[in-house]
Amino acid sequence: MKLWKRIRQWRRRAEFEAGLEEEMRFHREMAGGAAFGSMALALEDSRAVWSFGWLESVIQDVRYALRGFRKSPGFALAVVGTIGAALGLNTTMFTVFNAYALRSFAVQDPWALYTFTWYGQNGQGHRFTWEQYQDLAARRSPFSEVIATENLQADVEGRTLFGQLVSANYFTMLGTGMAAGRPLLPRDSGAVMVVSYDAWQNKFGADPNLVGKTLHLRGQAFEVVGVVNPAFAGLESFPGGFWIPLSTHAAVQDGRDLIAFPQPERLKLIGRLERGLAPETAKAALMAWSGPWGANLPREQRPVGVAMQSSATTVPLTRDAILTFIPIFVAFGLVLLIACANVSNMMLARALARQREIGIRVSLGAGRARLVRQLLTESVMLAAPAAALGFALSQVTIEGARRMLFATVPAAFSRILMLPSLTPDWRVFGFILLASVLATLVFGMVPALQTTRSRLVEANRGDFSSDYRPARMRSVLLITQVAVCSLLLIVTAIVLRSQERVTARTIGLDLGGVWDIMMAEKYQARAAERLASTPGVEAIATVWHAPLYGSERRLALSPGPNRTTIRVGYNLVSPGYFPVFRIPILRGRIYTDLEAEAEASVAVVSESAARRLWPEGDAIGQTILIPRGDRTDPYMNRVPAHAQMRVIGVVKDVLSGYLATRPDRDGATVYFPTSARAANNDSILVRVSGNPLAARRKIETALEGIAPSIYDMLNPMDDVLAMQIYPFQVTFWVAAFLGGLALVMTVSGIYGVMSFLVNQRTKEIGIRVALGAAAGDVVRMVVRQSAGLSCIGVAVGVALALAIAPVFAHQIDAIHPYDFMAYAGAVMVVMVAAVGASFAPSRQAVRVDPVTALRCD
Amino acid sequence: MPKVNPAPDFLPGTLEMLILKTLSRASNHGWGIAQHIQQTSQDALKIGEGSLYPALQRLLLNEFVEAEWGVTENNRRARYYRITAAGRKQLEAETRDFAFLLAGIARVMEAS
Repeated sequence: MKLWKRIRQWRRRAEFEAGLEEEMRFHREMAGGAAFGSMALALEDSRAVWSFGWLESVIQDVRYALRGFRKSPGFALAVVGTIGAALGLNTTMFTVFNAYALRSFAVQDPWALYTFTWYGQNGQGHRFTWEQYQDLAARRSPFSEVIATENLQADVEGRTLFGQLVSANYFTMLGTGMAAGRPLLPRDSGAVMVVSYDAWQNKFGADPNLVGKTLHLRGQAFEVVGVVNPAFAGLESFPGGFWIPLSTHAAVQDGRDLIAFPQPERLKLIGRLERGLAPETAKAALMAWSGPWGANLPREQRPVGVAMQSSATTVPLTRDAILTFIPIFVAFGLVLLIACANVSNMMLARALARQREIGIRVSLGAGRARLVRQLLTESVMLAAPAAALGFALSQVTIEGARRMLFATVPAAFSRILMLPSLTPDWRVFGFILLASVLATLVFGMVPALQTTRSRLVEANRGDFSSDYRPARMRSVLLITQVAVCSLLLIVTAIVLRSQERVTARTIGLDLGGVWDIMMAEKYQARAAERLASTPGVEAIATVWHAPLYGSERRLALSPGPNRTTIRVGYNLVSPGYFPVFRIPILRGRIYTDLEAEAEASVAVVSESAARRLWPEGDAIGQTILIPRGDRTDPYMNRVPAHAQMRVIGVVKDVLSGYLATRPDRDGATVYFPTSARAANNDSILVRVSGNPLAARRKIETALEGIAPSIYDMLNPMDDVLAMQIYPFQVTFWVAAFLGGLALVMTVSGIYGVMSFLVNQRTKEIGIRVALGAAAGDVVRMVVRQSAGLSCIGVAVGVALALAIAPVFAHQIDAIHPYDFMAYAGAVMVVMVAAVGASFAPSRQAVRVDPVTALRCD
Repeated sequence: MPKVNPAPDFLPGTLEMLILKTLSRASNHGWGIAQHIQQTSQDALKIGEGSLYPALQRLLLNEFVEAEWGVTENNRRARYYRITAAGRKQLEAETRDFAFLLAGIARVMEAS
């Protein structure tokens, strides 16, 4: 009510003022001009009653700031652009972090979901059997309900999808909600499938009749019963594409039944914690539950502990996850810091130019708090559009990065790539708000406090410049910039050199024209037959694990009776493996198809393996002894059928593991025979002549005749190799982008500060020139100043890089965090840029005319 | 520095109360209000325009008084203030509080 009256009053303020003045004049006349105090003050006080108080002064400040920006639009644009770019970058990073680590899954009460495993003395986690799952679920404690899942990646009608076999209560326990159709239900007994919203939209063309259709997966027909709610894409790190019941396990997982004994350990369990139960209590209960199950396990696998992890988000914020995120956060935060330092410097320079104005305000009675408020208002008015710009930039960057990812990832993998939803939510908005407020405080508070430290006496004397020397502040900001920039460029250089190192590695495998067909083993024999008779197929091999997908499997074996064991890489391959990859045979022979089918006790070794196992003497004819482990997992550490294998041939070294790690790089590998009829093999490899498109079609046609959608993946081996290098490329791009941005900001920062300093020192330079300083001396003087600061900055940057190096030293062998060349290169670039940036201001200093310079002021 | 005139607003809101009291007898303009208070108090309270007009604005804002332009006896244009119903109520409340306060002060002063 009062506010309304105030507004009405404010709208008629001219009329009001006139009336009040008339009233007072009348008063004054009647009083006969007696001593009456200032009429202006009385008017002011009367007006103040109606005012909006502090709000009015804020409006004043805002209008004043706007007027200032209109006068120097370049300054305002530079600030908004700089801060906006840095905020945009940080918001992009936060959006991704949010999607993985903060946003919980769209399920009922996600924070009560926990996954767990017990681990043995060997520290290895564990998957569960059907019996264990049933037992834990029946107890209803510490989990009130438990779901079991098993991942699989498979081809669904020509689309490679990541999916899960899930227990019947999966959807009822999670309560995800459906976009169409119904979820999988406990009463389902047949082969039914639920598809993810993303897969429905992007892989099945949003087919409105998808529900009710039949899709094939590993040759088995599934009826689609529903499309899940778009917000839900499974509880795994990759968005899931489909879900099928665990009861179809035998049909899709090579006829292996979960229920028949001995039951395989394949299930991941996720439970809903009993209401009110602390995770620690649950952990103790699970440990007690695990104990009896371990009784008949080999000693090193008996449970000694239980690891429990929240399943509320894609990446649970454990210590390790936080340690991984910190360097990323720091790198992005540093760019924001540079931007703030830059803007802070600009504001300082501008504030110095406004020293006279501020001096006058102080002498007219403006309070310091009021002045600081006014300067901060200006900062906020710059930060608000910067935040808006930053948000817009982050949206553009995310979309751009998504497209770039799909465009640059090796083709075979772009078909399976699915990203989590990256739409901004309240956390993202909160982040940008917080970041912009922090940035405003950093870039606005320092100049505001510095410049208002004006002294009244000097100001009144008309001396507005002598009392203000923010030189130290400015130097610190400049050094910070250079340090951060050096750090980021050093990281960029290190990543680039690691990538080069990995790329330059000769792997010895001839990958051109080779395809990896990953498929269920029940189809392998038939597939091998058909492919062998397909024209254009030059060579064909069956292999336990195709090379280059990850670390090579390693096995401890002894080179003879009573000799110590040596760990070497190993694989089980059919004889076709060597011609498929054109691996030359150096001595002896490789095993024949017959030997392979019979899984004879023969082996082929690589040169390095031969040298390591039998340093003296010929490898051929030697016997390899394979110590029997207590228990083996056919996927992780499968061993050949015999305990003694005779070496019959030596082949050239190849690299078939992960190229960035050291153990995979020595090329010491032992090959044992296997065939398309054997169990537990992953893939069939074929070498096909002709162009890739035709080759793919040939393979697909050959396989179609067996059953629909029988293979899980069909990858050209070139792409598999490219996929190993790809993470380095992405890291390099991100680091280079950050480093480049930091460099640009630093250069512009140095340029700004130096030209400002030159301006400020015009008088001094004039005197020097008048006293006979040559142009070269002046240039040297200016450049020396910036080079000096840059040197300190570079030193700090190098020290920081060395300080964080130990974190990366042991992670990936190809990354050399103490790489001298990388440091030298980055330091060179920064120093050249720093000197270059101060060169233009130094030219400006040379042009100082002593006569004019000494006359001014 | 001894004060020549005791400030009328020795307690906050007292001046407003005096104005309301004055207006409760008859509508008046600013000068008339000041005059009335001065005369009635036998020159004990002199009200300057510096405090009178801001006080009138506060009363207007709170709707305790209304203002209207009129003409004085000697044909001058002047703004006349009239007390409103809310103003009378406020005056009653303030008078009561003031009496209470005064009695309290008096008791303290006589106590020794």
